[in-house]
Amino acid sequence: MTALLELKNVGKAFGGLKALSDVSFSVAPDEIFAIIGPNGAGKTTLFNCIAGALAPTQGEILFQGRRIDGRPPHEICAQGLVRTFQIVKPFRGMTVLENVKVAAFARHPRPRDAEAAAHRVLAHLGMEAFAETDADELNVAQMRRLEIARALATEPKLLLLDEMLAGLTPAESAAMCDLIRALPRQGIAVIVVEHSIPVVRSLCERAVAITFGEVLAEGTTEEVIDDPRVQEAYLGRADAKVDA
Amino acid sequence: MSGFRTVAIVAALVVAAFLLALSDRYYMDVFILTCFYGALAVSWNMMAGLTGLMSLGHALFVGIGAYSVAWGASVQGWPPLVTWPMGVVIAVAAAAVMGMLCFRYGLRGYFFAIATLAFNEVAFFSVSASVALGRSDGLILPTSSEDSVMMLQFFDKWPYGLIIGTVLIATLAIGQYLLTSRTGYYWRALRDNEEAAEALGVNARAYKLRCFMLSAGISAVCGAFYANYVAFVDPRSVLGIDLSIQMLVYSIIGGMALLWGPLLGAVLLVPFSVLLRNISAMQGSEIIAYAVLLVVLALILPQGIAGWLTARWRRRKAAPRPEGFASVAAAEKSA
Amino acid sequence: MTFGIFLQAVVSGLANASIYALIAVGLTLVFGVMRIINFAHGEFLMIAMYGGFFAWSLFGVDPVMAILIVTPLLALLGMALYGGIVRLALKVPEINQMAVTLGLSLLLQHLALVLFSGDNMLVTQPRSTAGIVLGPVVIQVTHLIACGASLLLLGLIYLILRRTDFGLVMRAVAQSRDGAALSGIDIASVYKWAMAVGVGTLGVTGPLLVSILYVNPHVGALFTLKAFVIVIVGGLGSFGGVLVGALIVGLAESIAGAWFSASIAAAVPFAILILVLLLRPEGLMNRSLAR
Repeated sequence: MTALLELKNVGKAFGGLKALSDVSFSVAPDEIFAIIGPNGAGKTTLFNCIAGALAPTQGEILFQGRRIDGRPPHEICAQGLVRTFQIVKPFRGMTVLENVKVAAFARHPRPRDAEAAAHRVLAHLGMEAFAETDADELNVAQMRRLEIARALATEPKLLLLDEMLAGLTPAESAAMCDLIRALPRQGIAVIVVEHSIPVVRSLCERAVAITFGEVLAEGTTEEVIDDPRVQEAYLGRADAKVDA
Repeated sequence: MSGFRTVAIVAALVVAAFLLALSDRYYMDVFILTCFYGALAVSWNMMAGLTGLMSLGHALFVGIGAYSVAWGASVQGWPPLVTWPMGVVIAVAAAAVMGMLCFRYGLRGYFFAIATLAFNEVAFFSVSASVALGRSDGLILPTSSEDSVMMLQFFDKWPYGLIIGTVLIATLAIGQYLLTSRTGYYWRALRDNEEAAEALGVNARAYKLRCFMLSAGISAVCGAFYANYVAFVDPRSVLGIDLSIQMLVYSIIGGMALLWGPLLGAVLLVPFSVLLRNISAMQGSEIIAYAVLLVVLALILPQGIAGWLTARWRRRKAAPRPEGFASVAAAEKSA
Repeated sequence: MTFGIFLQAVVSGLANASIYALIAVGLTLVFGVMRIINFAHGEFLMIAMYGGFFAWSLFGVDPVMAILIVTPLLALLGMALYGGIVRLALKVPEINQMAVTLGLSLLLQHLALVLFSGDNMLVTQPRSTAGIVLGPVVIQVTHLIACGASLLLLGLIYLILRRTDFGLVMRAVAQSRDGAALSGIDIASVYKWAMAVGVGTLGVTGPLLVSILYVNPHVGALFTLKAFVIVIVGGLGSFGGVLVGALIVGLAESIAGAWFSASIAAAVPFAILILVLLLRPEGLMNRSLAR
């Protein structure tokens, strides 16, 4: 199967500072893929390069065979690649339904169609009861769910999730994981940036580990996590075992 | 759609006010001024309140409209049929250029406000220096003793009321149409969070530009009207920063989150300031009064009078329903 | 334009630049620390100018001495402004903040109109017409005094920001409000003092300026705009930037005034602003007050 997303030697420098160098990996159309790495490894920079918030200074990013590196976020979204934000960014002056409707307009220019699509997404995520609630009044877990609802309303082929579980209770995390796990069956591939190794283990088939802006290991989740270099990068010593 | 119902109600009120004002030249003058400032404030607020772009140079577009008409009439003898569209086209083009420059470099908030102010000041001083545009003395439109529909010259005031009332209602209708369409949703999304909006497929630059151009076009229409109504323009009256500040005052006091909020501000303040000007011997007392109002309301009622009213109304409507937000949230948690 | 006229324009431009710099430094200090733009900044200058004028016309106080009275008064006014209005304005959206200070500017202008009428007033002393002739160039004594005092005060502010604990605390707050708060700095008191210094500096400029320029209720607006131009051209919140911005604006304005008409000269600072916003939106000197 051809890759949905392919990164070829992607690099990003801020002035003289290299945040990413020579990052290459690919993501298949029906998988959940993880980007892992310690704090400050360049995960967020990589994420921003893929989503179009930053333009890479080197290499190519191909989505469905077309180059998207350096394209603005709205064009990347139109091609079917959408992201969420680690720090939730709801439209605070709008209701939940209106928030999702904004995203649905990406595929349905007519207001009536967009509203119907927004309702479908909300129903799918079990948020229909909140449709008329002001986005401002939601709690953290609900806001994260709204982030996903908005992203799904753009009808993506690839969804980029940035630390979606941070700050959630175990029960909320479990519900969120179930939601993510179901996405590939709906034809949506997922890339997660995630801190928690257990979550990555349970959620993702394949992963890439980066540290200091470079790829440390790529492969199946087990391989990557068990790689001694990854273990060392995470814990700072080779004999430690990441598990839990 | 409830929004259109609101616009229909507002339009009916405008028509009623017009009919009442027919009785007296003085009332008609107040009606005309209210509609003029109301339409301007609504168009300004399409940018500030709905899209989050605060312009402090909107007088520039009023000035372009007004000077197109005044220069066309006094120097070239052109009728409004030519000069109104000319003013609108120039204003929209100016907004397009300004917008492209500002948005390209991501100017927001204070920086965008001050950039627009700078464009306005350049125009103000350039016109003040331009011999063709009458320098700071301004231009007087030629008048004849006969009424002329072609030149929009009438002895009675009511035809002017009819024109500006129509402009106001059209502005509200266009605004309401856009608000329910994709454009309006995208504008509000950009206002609330530009980064998130872009990630969800909103072309920020294009939609901001569209908003800026529309707002400038409506302001130019108002300016063109002003020139025909007053038959005199000078830099201070149509290009001064005071005019831009007035749009802001009505919007903040009325309420920026709603399309008709700024109109409410104008309806409350324009007659009030006319009244104060007449009963108070003190020069500028009306400005002192609404400067105080502006400071106080901007601090304690950030959503403006209209926002406060609708919030109250919504709360009252929501109150009798037993299954409020809390129980819905509980249901969600148990699910 | 002869070389003599050009030189004269350069000299007046430099003198204006030093005065502009002192006005702008207060504005940028307040912005750097609080992230709020005070549209009423020029109105406080106007108040200081009236202070200097009335000290002279009613009590015969020399404007240079009036500084000693007007400056503390303006600093108090700055504190009152913080306590009464700005403190509350920090809690509302940016657009409302702009509305608040714009409203204040309108209010002060029209109150001044009521209190002092719209007449132009100027301090005229024997030294008002005195000048020092240097070849083709004449330097007005009043300009020289204002210029010297401005440079002196700018140096003093620079030293305070750099060398004292007070300056360190200010810079810390400018760099990271939360970080400063976490390390136990009383943010509210820093804000209050930033406002006192920002407005207080106008207490020096005002009395000196009223010997050079007519004061009327609307004089402040022009200076607010010019101060904006200067701080944005220099880079908001940057001390060195203010000096560069003031130099550019003062010289360009003065040279354009000698070359073209007064209206064109008035438009020049704004044209510069547009150019800078478009070419280098972060300002020419991209260093913040904090560094």
